[in-house]
Amino acid sequence: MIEPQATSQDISVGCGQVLEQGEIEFYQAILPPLVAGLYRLVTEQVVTLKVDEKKYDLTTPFQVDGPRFRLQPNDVQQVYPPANLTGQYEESLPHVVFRLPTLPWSRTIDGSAASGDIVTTPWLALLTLYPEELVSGIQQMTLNDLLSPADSNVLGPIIDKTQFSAAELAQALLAIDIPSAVFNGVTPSIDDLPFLAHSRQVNTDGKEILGLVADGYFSVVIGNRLPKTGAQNSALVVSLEGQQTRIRGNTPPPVNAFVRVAVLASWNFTAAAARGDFIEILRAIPDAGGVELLHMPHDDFTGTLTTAETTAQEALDTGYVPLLNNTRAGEETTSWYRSPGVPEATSLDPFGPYAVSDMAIRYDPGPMDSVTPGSGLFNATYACAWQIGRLLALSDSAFARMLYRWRVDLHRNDDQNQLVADLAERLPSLARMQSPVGEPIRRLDAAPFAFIDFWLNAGRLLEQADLPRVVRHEHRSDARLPGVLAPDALRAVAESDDPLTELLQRLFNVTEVTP
Amino acid sequence: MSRAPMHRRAISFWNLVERSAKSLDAEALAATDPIEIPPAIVAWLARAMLLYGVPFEYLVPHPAMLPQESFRFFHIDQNWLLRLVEGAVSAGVGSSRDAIAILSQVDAVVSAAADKAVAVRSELRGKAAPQADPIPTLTSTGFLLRSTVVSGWVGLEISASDASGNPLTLLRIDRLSPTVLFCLIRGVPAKIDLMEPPETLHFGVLHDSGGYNVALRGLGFGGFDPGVQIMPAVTAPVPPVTGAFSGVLDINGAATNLKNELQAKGALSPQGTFTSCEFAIQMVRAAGLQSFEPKAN
Repeated sequence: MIEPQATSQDISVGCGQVLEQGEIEFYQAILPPLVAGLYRLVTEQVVTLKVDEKKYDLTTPFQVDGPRFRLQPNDVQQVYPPANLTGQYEESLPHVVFRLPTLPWSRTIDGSAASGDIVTTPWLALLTLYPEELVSGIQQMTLNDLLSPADSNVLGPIIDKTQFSAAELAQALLAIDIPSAVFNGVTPSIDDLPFLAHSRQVNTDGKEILGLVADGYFSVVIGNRLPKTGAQNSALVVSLEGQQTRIRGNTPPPVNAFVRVAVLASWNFTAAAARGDFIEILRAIPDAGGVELLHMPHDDFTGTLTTAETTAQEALDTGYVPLLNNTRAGEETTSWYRSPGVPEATSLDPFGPYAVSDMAIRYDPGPMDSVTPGSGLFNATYACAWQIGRLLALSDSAFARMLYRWRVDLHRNDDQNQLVADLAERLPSLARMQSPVGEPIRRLDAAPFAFIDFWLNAGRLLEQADLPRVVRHEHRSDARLPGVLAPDALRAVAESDDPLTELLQRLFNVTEVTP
Repeated sequence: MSRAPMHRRAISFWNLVERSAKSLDAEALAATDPIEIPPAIVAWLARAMLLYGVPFEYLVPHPAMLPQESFRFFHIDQNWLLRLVEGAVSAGVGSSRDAIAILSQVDAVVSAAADKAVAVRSELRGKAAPQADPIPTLTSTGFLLRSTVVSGWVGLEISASDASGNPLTLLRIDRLSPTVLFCLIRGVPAKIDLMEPPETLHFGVLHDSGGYNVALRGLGFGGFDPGVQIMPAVTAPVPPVTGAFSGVLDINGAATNLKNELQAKGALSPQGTFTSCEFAIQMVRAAGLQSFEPKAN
């Protein structure tokens, strides 16, 4: 019988030195050497003289910059679910792949300094918002608008504004105002965030060359919310920098307040209505319709079976179905029919080919030994198959025409074969014919030698041959036929001194012959 | 000598010379030279042998044979295909002479068409024909799947393999109706895999009556290969966050559950590390794959 086997959910994870094509290596994080921020490079030089030593120092301020409130369009390698598509995403968590392998750890969520190799909490999050939660759309504004919103109900990120120059504060960015309750409800908690970002190395052999990241390191941020089915969902990559006290797990801000967050990337997708799970549906099949061989289901035959019951059981289990049909005489009867798909392997029967379908009707598929009475039913299976084949052929006029041409070719070929076979029978010496070099003639380009041999022996052969005297009328004068001379040429031959020699000369002289 | 016989002899000469040039074998001279079966006829019959055009009622004569949500495996009745081909070529039979000429060709036609049938699917897809294999050409099997997965997952992928794991050629894959999938396989498969259309590797959860969960994958420790699902399947629940906003998952809680389940299996590293990368491996939702194993009765 057939049994469903377990599900496979394997993925190719690389963990060796060399990544195979299609393998992925996962990293908890790829940390930047320095997180973004303001730094001071302090150099100190001590010059020791004979009498005293002098200290020189130099402080060079510098800034490690990195994406903060906006991204370049090509920083995003891929988003899932694909933008503006409708699909079955009800059990998928959206994610975004960045080409910058260090992006989620390039700054800290609270602006603090990162120390050493400690993996910081990612400052990026991927929010999934349902349509009813989007009160206002994504707006373009300046950095100043983001940090100090005009409306006191709108809470911007808590970031020290003094670090920005006036020019920086005037730069445009995208932001969205999210109702504070929604923000507090759908954002990942501070404990969730570390699990939602990772880096990966992908063998890029099977992909296009990606320019800067041809080595195939990417960072990935995963959403924490399943999409709403049957609705358009918005996926927003937002900066949580300065928002750490408002995300889920904190006391919600006032109910009528809005949280203003910088949107680094966003896209929409539609999750189609729920349809269930692929594997679950397939796993449910054995209990629903069943996994079986194709046959007509029937109740159990119980007790001691009569011969008829045995026959019926055997027929049903081997795929036969009793169906009503009309005989040619019009009588209604029940006959066995079996689909081309049968429950067990078949072997070729010795019957056929059949010229008409009635020849394929079998009587009684029951036990074949003469002691057992048959079921008394016809088996119309193969007659049906024959008829379907014929109907398919007749319904396709191009095929019917091809068949007709093929038939004509078959007949013509038969005629020709017959003629040659007759002649060959009468010319036994032909089999000994050889080329002048003594080799048996095998190839067509050796034909001229055969012609010469023929020429030398023609007279003798002709006298020995007892050839048919009757020539089909249409063959007499058709100059296109092989070896046929035009009527006037033929007349010249007949009037010559040696008609046979003349004829053969004309025939095998290149110009006159139409092979 | 009269003219007519001479003319006739000349024709016969030509034929003889032509034939003798090919081979001087006396038997070959007498043997008939079979005419090639037109390729267009072979191609048409090859499609017919894959049951293209056969009404569904003749494939499944009774609705009870294919109830909703069912999988039915079958062998193809070789005699049925022979009769089908005989019926088809019979359309060219108009006389007893035709019958002899054409029906004597049936064996050749059937084997040519069966050879061709292997290439029908690859031709439809514009791909190279599969390599010839030693499976007898008429030995094919197949299955019918009537399920909502057929309509829900349009790019559903099928693969079949024999007992030694070699992939078998799929002769035909067709949706006969929105929910009925018909597939013909060359040879007798030991395993049939139905695969969700592979899209981007993505993250997600499985959903069943008990809520959301994920099936654990090995991490390369404790004898569990990295990325390979731990068998028998172990799942860890992914708790949703209770509150006004549906669909939000408690990621930290899920991570804790996953870590505990993996630890119980001994599949964690000796240090017990469980970070975002281990979490990502667990949460990847690979294309679902369900195998069916047809076994002999």
